[in-house]
Amino acid sequence: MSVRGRAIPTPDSMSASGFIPPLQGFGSYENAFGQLSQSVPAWLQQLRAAALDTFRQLGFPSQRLEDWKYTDTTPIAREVFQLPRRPPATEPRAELWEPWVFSGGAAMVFFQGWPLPLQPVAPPLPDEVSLLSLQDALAKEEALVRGLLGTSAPLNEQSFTALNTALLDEGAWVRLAPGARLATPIQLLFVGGSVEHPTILCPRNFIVLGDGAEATVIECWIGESSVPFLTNGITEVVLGEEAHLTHVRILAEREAMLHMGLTAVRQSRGSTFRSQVITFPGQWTRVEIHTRLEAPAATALLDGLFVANGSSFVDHHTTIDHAQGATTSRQLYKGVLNGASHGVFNGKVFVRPGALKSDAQQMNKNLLLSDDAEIDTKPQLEIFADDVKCSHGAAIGQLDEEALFYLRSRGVAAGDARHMLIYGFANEIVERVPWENARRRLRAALQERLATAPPEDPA
Amino acid sequence: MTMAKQPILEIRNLHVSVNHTPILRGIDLVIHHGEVHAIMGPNGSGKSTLCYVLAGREGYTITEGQVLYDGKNLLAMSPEERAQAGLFLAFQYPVEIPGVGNMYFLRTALNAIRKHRGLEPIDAMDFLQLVREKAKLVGIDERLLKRSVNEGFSGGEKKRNEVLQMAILEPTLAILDETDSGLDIDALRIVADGVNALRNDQHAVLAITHYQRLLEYLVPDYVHVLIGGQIVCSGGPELAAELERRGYAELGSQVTAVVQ
Repeated sequence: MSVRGRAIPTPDSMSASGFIPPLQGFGSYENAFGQLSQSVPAWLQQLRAAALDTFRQLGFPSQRLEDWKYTDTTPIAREVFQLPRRPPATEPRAELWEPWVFSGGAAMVFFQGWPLPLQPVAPPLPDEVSLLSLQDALAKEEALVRGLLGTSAPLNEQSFTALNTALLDEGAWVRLAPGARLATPIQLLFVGGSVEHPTILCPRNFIVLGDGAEATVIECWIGESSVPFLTNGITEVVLGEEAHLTHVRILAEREAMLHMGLTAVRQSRGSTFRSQVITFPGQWTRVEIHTRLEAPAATALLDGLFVANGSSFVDHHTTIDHAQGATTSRQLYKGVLNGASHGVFNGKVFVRPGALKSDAQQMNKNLLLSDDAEIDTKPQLEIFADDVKCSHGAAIGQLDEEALFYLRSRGVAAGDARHMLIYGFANEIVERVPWENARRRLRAALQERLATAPPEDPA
Repeated sequence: MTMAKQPILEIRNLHVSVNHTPILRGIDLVIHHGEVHAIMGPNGSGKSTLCYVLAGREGYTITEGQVLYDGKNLLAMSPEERAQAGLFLAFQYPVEIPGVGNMYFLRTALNAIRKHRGLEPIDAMDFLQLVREKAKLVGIDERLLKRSVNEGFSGGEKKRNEVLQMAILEPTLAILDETDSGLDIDALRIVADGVNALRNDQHAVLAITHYQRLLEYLVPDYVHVLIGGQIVCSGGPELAAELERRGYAELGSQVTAVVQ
């Protein structure tokens, strides 16, 4: 389904293969590769080099590829990016990032991909939990890192994954031993921007939960920049049997921030991956969530919200792979598009042969607030098994007239009622985030982006 | 009776169509402050249409007649202006609004109405106290109020929430659109108590109902019978009992005969 106020521009230099080379050549990426610290294990250096080769063969995906039909990568392909300085030349302004550290639990803050020494005070983590920078993890738990890297997000023919691997240097490493349970969320905060030249950053994070472990991890990606700042980040997640992860992924960027984000998950028997993606995009954003339900009784619950203004482009792609039967997935993604913004939702559900009793439900609802805003929404169910329960739906619309009348009949002015409903539409997803401090922060961000009156909470 | 005073509501020869189909065919009704009126009628008689037209919902064409609210042309007012002027409709099917908190909604509504009355916005603590007090009155679990508006409420909880809103907003004219339907006896009594608590010489109530049951607890001053878009007869509370005994069909045919 597709509603649009304008045509999608098609790059001229599109090749028949479905990929386009960087418009200024591969040189800047090779330079960046050459600048990376070599003090990493040899296997990693080899992996990076192989990934650079893959990227050199591929370039960036073009709109000829079905997965990129609505997504123009030219804003990335035309730039000449540099890596940020190591360590960064400046420190981020505290007022920029401090409001985003709210969980009261352990937190790591990265500025331009570099772990900051200024860790907020947090209660110490129990021994069975590792929270490290990737470089520290390579020093302390190298075998584990090596065993996991690329297993959830394989190189294959994914341009951005190849590029991330080629330029991989830092990230967060979160590992819970079997049975470990954390009551308070771990926060990973990535502050981008504040650069003078177009900059690329390729963080790689890991969240690994042993059998029966339980945690909430809140990833926040924030930043503003007047020059292009591309984050090409990957979070690889591995969930053991009966492990339960709530993964909240908040993106609040502005201006010339470009963002390609992938969360790639593998789930064992009885595990739950609860994903909540909330996106306030800068200029160009694509967020992909891939999860593979590899054993029975695995459950994936995916909620998403994107709120775009101006000329932002924001794309959410989900892939849920019911590789085994008796697995369950639920998706609710909502979009609010204003100005001349362009949103995309593509939800792919595979039910593999023999994955009997799979149960998949997907829903995408969008609100278009201006004539120039555009949404492309595409459910994609590929079912190769019998005896499954799958449903999907997509809605593009205006506000519910019945609800509008209800509010007005109580004395709320039409304009306020409209704002309330827009806010409520988006806030339904925020209210699902299982942590009040996070909800409070998100409500404030929502009000700011929707420019609505603050709904103070008297209770 | 307060006949000398200006009525709160005066409906004169009101004709209303939906998609060119006449639904209301000449309604006359006068309600004074302090009075409780009941309109009874079978399904499809135009009861809900009357409610919606009075509250200002779109989609209805007024083909003839007028409605005065406190002497002013009600039909020229927006739904929010009507509410701010003290008119309240308890919906037959209250709407669920996910994402909008009940408390936030209620407070916004109350402050909009207070503003119209020249009052300051209510203080957060005072509001909380007011809600607590009224919630107890209508027997609604306070925890429900922390949820989104009507979201996941049972039918009975939604009706109670309507009565709670009414108790908080203190309307001059409350219109109840089959608020009794789908309620058990206990809930019915609580709803009626909520309405009765509002009853004094400043307020008026128009209760629309299919059954006489509600009127045992909420004894009306006047009962009107609406059939085929017309008020076919009016009387005191005894009319409700008579209707219950004889049914609409018998009364309807009798009245039709008289009219013809």
